[in-house]
Amino acid sequence: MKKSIYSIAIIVTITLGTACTKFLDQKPLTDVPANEFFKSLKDINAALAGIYASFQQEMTGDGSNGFTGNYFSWGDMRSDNFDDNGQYASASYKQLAQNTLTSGNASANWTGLYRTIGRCNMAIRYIPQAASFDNNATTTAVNNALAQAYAMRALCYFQIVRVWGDAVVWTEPYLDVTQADQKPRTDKVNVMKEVVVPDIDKAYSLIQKNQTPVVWNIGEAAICAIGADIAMWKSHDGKILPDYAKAKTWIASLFAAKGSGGKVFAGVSGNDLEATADWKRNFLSPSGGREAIWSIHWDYTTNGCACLPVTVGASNNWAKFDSTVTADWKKSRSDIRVAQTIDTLTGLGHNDKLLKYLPLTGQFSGNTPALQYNEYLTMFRLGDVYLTYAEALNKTGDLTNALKYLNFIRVRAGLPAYAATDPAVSAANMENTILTERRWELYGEGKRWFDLVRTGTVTTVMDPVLKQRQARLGTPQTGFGTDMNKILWPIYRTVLEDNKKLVQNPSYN
Amino acid sequence: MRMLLLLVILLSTATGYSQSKKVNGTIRDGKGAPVAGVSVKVKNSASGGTVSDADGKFSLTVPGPAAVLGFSFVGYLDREERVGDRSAIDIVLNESASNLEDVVVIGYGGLAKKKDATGATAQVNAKAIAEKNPVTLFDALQGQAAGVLITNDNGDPAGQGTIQIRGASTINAEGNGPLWVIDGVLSENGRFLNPADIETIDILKDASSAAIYGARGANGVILVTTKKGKGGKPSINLNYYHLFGKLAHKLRTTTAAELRAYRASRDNNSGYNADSTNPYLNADNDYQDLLFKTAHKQVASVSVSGGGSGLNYYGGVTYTDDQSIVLNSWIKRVQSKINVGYTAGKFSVTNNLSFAWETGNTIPVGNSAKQVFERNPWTSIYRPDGSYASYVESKRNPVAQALFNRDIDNNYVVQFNTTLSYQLFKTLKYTSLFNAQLTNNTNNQFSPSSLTSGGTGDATGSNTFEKTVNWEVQGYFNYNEKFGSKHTVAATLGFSADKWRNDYYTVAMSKYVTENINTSNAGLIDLTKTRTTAWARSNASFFGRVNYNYDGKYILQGTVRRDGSSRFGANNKWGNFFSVSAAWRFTQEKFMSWTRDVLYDGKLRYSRGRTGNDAIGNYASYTVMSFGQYYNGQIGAGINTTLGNNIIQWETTSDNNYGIDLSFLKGRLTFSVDYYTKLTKDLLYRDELAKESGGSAVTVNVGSIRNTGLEFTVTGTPVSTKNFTWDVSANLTFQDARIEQLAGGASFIAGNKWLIREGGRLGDFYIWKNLGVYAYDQSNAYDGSWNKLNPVFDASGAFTGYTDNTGKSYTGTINQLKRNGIVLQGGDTEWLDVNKDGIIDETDKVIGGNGLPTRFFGISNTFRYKNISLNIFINGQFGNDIYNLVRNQQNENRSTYTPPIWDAVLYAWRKQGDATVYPYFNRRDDRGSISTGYNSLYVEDGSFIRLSSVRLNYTFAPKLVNKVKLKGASVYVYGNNLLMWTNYSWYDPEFSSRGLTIGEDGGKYPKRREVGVGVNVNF
Repeated sequence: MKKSIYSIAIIVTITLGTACTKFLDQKPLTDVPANEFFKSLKDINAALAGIYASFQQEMTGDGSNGFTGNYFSWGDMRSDNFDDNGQYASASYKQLAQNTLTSGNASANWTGLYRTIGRCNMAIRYIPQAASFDNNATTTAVNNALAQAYAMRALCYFQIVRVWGDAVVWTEPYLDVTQADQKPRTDKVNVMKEVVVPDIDKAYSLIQKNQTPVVWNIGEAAICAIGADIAMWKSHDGKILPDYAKAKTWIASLFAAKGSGGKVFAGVSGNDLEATADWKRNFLSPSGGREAIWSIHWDYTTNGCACLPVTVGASNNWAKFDSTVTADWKKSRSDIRVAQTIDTLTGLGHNDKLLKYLPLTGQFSGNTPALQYNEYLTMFRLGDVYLTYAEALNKTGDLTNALKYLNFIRVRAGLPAYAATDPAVSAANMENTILTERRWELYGEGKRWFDLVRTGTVTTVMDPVLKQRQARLGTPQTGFGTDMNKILWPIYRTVLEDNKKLVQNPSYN
Repeated sequence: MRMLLLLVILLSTATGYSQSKKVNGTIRDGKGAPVAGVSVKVKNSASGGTVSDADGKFSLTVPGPAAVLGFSFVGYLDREERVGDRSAIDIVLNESASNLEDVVVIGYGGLAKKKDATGATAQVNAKAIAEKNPVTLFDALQGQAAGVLITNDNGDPAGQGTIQIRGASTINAEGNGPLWVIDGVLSENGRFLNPADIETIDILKDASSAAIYGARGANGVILVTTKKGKGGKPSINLNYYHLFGKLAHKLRTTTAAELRAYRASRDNNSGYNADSTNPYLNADNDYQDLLFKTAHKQVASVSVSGGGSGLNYYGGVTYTDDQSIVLNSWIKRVQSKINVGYTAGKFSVTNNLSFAWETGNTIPVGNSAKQVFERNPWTSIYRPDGSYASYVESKRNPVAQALFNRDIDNNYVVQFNTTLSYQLFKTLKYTSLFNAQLTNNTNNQFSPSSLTSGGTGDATGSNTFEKTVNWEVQGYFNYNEKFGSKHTVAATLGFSADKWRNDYYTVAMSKYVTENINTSNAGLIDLTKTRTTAWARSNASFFGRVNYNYDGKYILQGTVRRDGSSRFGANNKWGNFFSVSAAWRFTQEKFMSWTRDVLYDGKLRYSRGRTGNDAIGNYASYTVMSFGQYYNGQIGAGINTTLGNNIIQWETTSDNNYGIDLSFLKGRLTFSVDYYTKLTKDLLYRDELAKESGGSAVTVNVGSIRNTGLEFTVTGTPVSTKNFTWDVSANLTFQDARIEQLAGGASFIAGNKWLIREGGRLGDFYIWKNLGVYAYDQSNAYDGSWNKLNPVFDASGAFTGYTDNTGKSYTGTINQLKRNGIVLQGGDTEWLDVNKDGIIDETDKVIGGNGLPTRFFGISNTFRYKNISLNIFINGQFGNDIYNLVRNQQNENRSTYTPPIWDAVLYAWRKQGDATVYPYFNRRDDRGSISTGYNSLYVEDGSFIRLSSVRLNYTFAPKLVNKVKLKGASVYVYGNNLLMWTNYSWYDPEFSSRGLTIGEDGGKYPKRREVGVGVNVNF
């Protein structure tokens, strides 16, 4: 009896001891180890969706009931399009409206863009290997996927250059935590030259041409639109200069590509745009339209609340229309865009409701619960490209064609075309007239601030606006001020703490 | 025939030789009352012995007249009796004044007498537990042991709390709690246990005691031993009590008149409703009166125990019905426990079966108990039609929220534990344990349409189901042998393995067809909140312990444990833990014999050892692709931004413990002091990665925290006469935790407020130092070196110039402080400008308080006069600050409608010259004058002393109750949280915190003051 119990105990002990290694091996039950992924076309598609979802989260928001996206903070909020919504604005939005950015501003955080870049890096590195595991991962499928990853990476780095200037460059995924994670920033000129431009060129060379794209993804035309934007960029300090010829080439390529409705954009007349009556289709149902190039998808049933800080969310909006918008633009009764873009009533609850992305006109009167709107933020559309094209043509001395494209937009908006003799479209004023047209056409499309920076008009446009806001607060009316470093954003505080090799942008601490 | 005779002779010789005989007897105490449960054993025999029954009777077969019987029972002095030729042995056991003979549980079958213990342990027994009428283990343990800080959330009927043994030794939010070992089974908590079923709770505080639990022992170990049956006829115990509770600390709220005056002044006489004829708008509610009510807590329990011929059993069932002080805040709980033991010769088996069910409604504290300060007091909570009003001025109706929001838990725990042991030799026993447990937590939430803004929105709800299954197996040998008369060796060697699996499902719904149905068929499923997840983990361990005792004078002990865990990477699955300890009972030395009349027993202890903390994510070694984000109908995959670290290991705590135990006057007074230093290294730490890498964080082992502490425990019986006794037990703890080292020396801020830096303490608030409010615009004036200047005004009130702090006129340069780019004026808050650059910004934050107590104590006094006993329990803590976030948020004036606290309403700055601490409300936070969450104005002293419980008990005379066929009966009056001394201004300074975000009161369930009566019957 004793012996048998001994034996049993010993056997049990030994068995347990040897079985331990296996017994102690527990694989994650909800995730796949990274080295077991990228083995099929399904994996590729999931990885691409992951890239878009990451970008969507960064631009529109994370679906929580807060205002978490940066689309408006970066593109609109620092401009004369929006003002902070008084006591309801977050501290971050007050800083945006008053040009008093600090390193604590929530939108000064580039983490989400680098998360997206990290996913692009994974995709670029590992998508090709899927071809050897899955016959469905054809060369075309792999190349189309890679093209989207390259284009998204180019766009993210371009956004970082536009917002912060110099960028930290990562083009390989970071997977081994024993390797250094901290790197210094690379000069923005080199970032453009070594990453942004090569990536967008590579994307164009890889994408399958002449296909009908999905409007929610980066297709052939979207690559060209990003390329044109990159070529048009001029940094505030003049170190990055525009290449209008290249921009025109990109736009020519874009005109040759197909839209999501299967029609070639062509880009030869106003008829290639959505009709006047269908202008809002660009925002409400861009898929299958004539004009839409790339919009960010949203589905509240799976993504949650879009909660844009200028439309509607769970709490009071952080931003409202700048007083110049309601004062000037609203008077233009023939402009069909006014009532379709903003709530034309005044006062609390109206002057903060952007209607562009909502199926509403004139006034916010939703019977949809606030958290259940699908809002598709526009990245690029043909109307935007027409005005960019007009700008490039104007800059290269082709005033006639610049006017032609400008008028396509005006006429579509229900406004009279400018006569060639109109002083507004003289050689001296053309750039400003295009800029103003862009303001109204692309109001709330994340473009205005970058337009002001690119055209070097931040001071002239923002000085009077900021002085008025400063007067309201009782602070010295210095306007935008003379410190042009303030055009760039500060780097977010914790981002600096996490990477000791970063140096804060000048004029910020 | 001759053969037959021979056989008879042989047989008779054989029987004569063995001379085995039966002995029986009765055991009584000094007063002649029978003592049940006394262990009776034949010395130096492998057989299990027996225990006395309820009448004190025992019966046992002994080998012969030379046999010596040992009698032992907790609280009594051991006794030995030679059997001789007696067959009936009646014994008187004397009560032990000292607790030196108490048995201390040290894990894996190990037991030690308190006098022989080498480590730092504390014991709480059934008697001490009973005095506190505890509903949870947190109630039972609070204040009972030095070095054990219990933070009790007992206002909330479902509230538990936190237990921290010997200070915060980790910066890992998940891993601060102790390990629970319940009847030998390693458990995550003791929630399902009813304190009334507990025999003893042993708390292992130092590494030498806890090292036998290796990688899970770093935060201390709580060993719970539940009650076992005693021999004899069934003994049935009934207990019932009913407590009435009230809001313990009602707060002064802002009245309707005060709020009207405030809004009138703020908004230039607009913005408040002046319709004096509308009854809906002319109330003056103190919502506390509407939301809080008298609580009724009823607890009924029955236990049956008994045994005989090798069998013993204990069964207990407790039913708790707690209708708390907030409307619709309640729980019902059933806890049951069956312990059955059977001994047959060398073989014994024990089965423990537990079943617990708890259901209750969790009220939304933020929308009810906190909301009472947010809604304007003049609006009725009812609409004219008698229904409850919804939002008013964006503020919820706290009463409707409490009444109609449903958040119902139904939690079940079933546990089955079998322990088999076999006495291989006289000195060696093998035990194996198998435990299986199923924990099933479900939750149903439903928020009706009437609670939405306007009362017409969508009803929302969810159904959640969580299941955890775990099993554990242990096998160990216990060896115990005495060599000669002086050398005793005890040893333990064994293994254990366990495995856990958790599955979690939650489905959320909206747009219900009908509000009567809460299942998913009646609503639209909300995909953003619907998900299922799962995890699993496993552990395997080997352990050993050796104890050597020389003549009760010198005691040495060593333990080793080797732990394997699935949480760590392939090359780091195993870790080793060890400890050594020694004790010297110096009073046993001959040269100390002269002290025995006064110093009855004295012992010096030293121990050191290493324990671990494995509380990291279950899969922290893996870098994974995560799913779950959606884009245009496709599920996205992305690399998880928390990267895996395949060299991750547990954090280890090395500690040194120095202790002395003194026992005076035959144990009437005992005194213990422990001093410890505890160094936790390789802190499990979520290290932030450079965000540009695409990753966000990785768990690493880096940094260290040093804890030091001093613990005093005194027990004594100052008075002991025939009719009157007075027992005291008290403990006092001093502790300090400092961060020694962090990754690359880098500090970080946890939860936006708590600065974690080298040399700092856990719980440090990193905030701006508020220096008051500028009375005049001219008050913001400093000289060249930033010394404050005093503005001078003439008789007409005109500003004439400045004087410096010596009173002399000052005409030099004037510096002014700026915040948010604005020069601060009268009515703005003045802040400490740490770097003297004239700008108040992030760089001016200072350590403005600390949320961890540095000292805490508990004192229990028991007075007995004849049949009456009175227990008074006081506990308290000192040295901690509380950030009163509720008060701060009320005063932040961010919403147009939130009423500030009444004193801010009355005394905030309004005009030049006002001296106050509250800034000018009209400027809101434009100049950072409120700085919610970072304003030292809202840091308060969190020290308190609480009259925690009082219990007055009357025991009926046995003669009296025997007439009604009862063995015993008593009635008692009980009071809980009767008095409190504190300077803290909000509901209560005691509330639990999670992880590193310590000491912030963001609106807690208020505590109650309770009184009630109970009755206890035995038959």
